Amino acid sequence: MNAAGFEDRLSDGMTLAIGGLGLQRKPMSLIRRVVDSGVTDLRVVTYLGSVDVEFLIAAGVVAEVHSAGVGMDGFGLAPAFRRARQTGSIRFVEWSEGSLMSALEAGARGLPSMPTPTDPRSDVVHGEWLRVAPDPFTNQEIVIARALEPDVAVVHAAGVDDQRNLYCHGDLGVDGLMVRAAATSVASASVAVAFDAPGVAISGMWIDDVVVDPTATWPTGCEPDVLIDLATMSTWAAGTGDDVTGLVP
Amino acid sequence: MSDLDLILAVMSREIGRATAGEPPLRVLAMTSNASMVAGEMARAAGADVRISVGFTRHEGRPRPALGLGAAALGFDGTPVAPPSDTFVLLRRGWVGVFVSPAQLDAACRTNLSRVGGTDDAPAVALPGSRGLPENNTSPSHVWYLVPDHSARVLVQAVDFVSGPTPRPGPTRRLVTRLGMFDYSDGNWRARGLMPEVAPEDVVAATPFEVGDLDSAPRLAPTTPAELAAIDAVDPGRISHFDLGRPAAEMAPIIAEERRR
Repeated sequence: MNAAGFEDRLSDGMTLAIGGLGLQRKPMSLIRRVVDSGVTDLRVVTYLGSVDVEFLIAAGVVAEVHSAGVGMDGFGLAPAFRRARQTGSIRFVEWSEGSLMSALEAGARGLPSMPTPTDPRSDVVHGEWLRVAPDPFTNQEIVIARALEPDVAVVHAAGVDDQRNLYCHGDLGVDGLMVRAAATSVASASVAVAFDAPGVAISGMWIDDVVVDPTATWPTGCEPDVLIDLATMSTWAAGTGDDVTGLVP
Repeated sequence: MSDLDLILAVMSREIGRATAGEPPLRVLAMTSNASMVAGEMARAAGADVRISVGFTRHEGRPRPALGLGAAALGFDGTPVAPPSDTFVLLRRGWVGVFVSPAQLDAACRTNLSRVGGTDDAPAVALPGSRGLPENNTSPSHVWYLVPDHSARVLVQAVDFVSGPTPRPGPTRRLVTRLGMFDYSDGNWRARGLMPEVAPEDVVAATPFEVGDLDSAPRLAPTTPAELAAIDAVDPGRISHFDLGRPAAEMAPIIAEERRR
């Protein structure tokens, strides 16, 4: 399993959804393949981003980032993301955790939008993706999230079986919503495993292709078997975030 | 015993108190190593509280780690839940969460998006609002963990409203190196001062008014049992990095990790 046709799914300007959370389970090998393919002007959707966003921004292929937060967890702020926001070289569409979840849910269900438990008084509520509207039944002002429908979703799992079912030890985040909202989804997995029905986190029917690679998340982790490369994270966070080689194995 | 251990102890006592609240705290959201350690301390003291290790597993037994993410080991057997459960729990008031905004203001609004500049070109870009726009409006327990009690974080008005002024709830409490402070009815009031902290220390460090400073009781020092609980779950004091421990001290921890 090496996802040989992955690059054929990519295109300039596409909406790329990236699974994982923070420094865990980022499908970094697939992200590097996205950059190597030469596509540009990407709209990136990541629930809680870190080096996934950093790598893409440093590679110069990002037009827009949708996220509830991009950072380096205990290592501090994300340097490439910070510089890009401060210089305006990318557009940051800031979501809240709840609203981004609702937007993916709407995309997954084929709805144009979905109400979300976000406070209408928050500054994240902006005109293009989040709007305030009266509830049609109670007239109460609520926030509505516009649907997000990624062209491609990339996720990483601890294990995959021969039916492309994915297995996850830790928090699954919104990976399940992403693959349901996306037109096509490709997964990397640390190891191949035997089928185990109760352990399936994401059904193989949502996954179109898979690559098995125990190093696929580097430098992020896939606990408990693959640990975060703390030295690389520390070095990247302390730097300027403009040299992609710092995130290439 | 360090001052930072006392902050952990105060957090754990708060968790214990909230489990008996109305509505009761049932699930602690693990937003940092400090909140995780405080949760385990509260459990060691007998509190009935689950620790959520993310959006889909709400009963975990995590361990402190520099790269926090979804570092959850030793589940209590609960299956993966839909991510929307996070917000179902929040709306029921069952969640307790320690948030650490970059700015917190006189009206209890929070900011984790930017400082200065504009939305399109911030002077200082921060990670993003995370769950702050939902936390402050929920009936759940919200603590604002701001170890650096100073005008750098506590401001008259935030530059960006991530979390608006909270609607009334069971807990709207600020925890800092100087003490605990509640927000209600548009006012901040002291609920307890750390040992050795005088009311004038709070006045000097806070750019907005804080009431009840003279009548606020002293918070109890860390007990031997609390220290033992910290030692059991976080002997290396990784949680202290969330409370102001210098980042330069991470190096030996990283070196040890590389040897594993």
